[in-house]
Amino acid sequence: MNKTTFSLLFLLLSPLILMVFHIIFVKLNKKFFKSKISNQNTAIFCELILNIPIIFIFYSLNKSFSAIAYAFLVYNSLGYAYFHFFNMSETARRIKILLEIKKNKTLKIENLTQNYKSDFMVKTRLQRLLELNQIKKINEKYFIKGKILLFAAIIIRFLKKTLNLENKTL
Amino acid sequence: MIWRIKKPQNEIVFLLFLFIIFPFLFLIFIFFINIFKNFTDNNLLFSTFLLYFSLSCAYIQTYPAARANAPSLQIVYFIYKSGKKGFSEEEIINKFNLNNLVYERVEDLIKENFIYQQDNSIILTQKGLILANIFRIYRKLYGLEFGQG
Repeated sequence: MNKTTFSLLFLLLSPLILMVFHIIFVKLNKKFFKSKISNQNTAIFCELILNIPIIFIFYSLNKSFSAIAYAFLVYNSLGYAYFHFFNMSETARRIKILLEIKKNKTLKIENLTQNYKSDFMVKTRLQRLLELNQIKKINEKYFIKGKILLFAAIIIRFLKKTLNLENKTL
Repeated sequence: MIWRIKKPQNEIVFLLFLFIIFPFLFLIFIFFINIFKNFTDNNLLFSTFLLYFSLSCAYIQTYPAARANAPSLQIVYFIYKSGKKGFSEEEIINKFNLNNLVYERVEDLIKENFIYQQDNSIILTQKGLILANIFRIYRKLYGLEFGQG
């Protein structure tokens, strides 16, 4: 196997490297550092910090500056997909519903809605958004602080319009 | 285009076929032709597919957020729209209703054959049980509790 093939395989497997690094980081943080960083923030932090070794290794194997741009684009696209997968396990309502049913074997729909009241859902999310520094709270009112999720929200609205998905409500 | 003409029944599976499986089969076909005709470097084919694959993964993972109206993004958008006036917690809660939050997701899960309804109860199908186990094991790997949804 030549160096280029090896470097491409390395890049293809980078989400697995990211996952192992993320698991170790979460466990170390829980045991030793005990920092109150949110689960989503740990995923973002691990994804970003791994850019350095992954791009460096890819560059070392290919010795060209276009390799840096290529590795940056591929790794971060895969890293973005990894973040969404992790985030799904953290926030997706459908996964939460499946896990609730699994826990109880069978579930009445009314019980499900009791466990999932909209005020609880909103409070949990507002807390997460505060921890992610995307919003701020002043005198019991919320305002926009960060631009990342706002940008994502605008892109998603655009995507919904383009794909004709607007019939689905909140 | 396809979505505007007719939305597929199982959107994620269709997306996987459209963006990953078909292009992968096409790549294998091109590799075979390249073995006999030798018109390009195999690494060039591999790197092109890898770039395409990574961008496709990013797109596919963005799609559920667009389809299911991710509440966090909705909240951010409401707050953004409120401008300098700001938005109180109560105002945000009033924007959501339980029907949309839970029932639509339950309907999606039934439609995609992850759960089925028996009288007034919902039960996991084999497919749903596999998915629930995948996520349970996945969270266990990190030593994390179940997500709060």
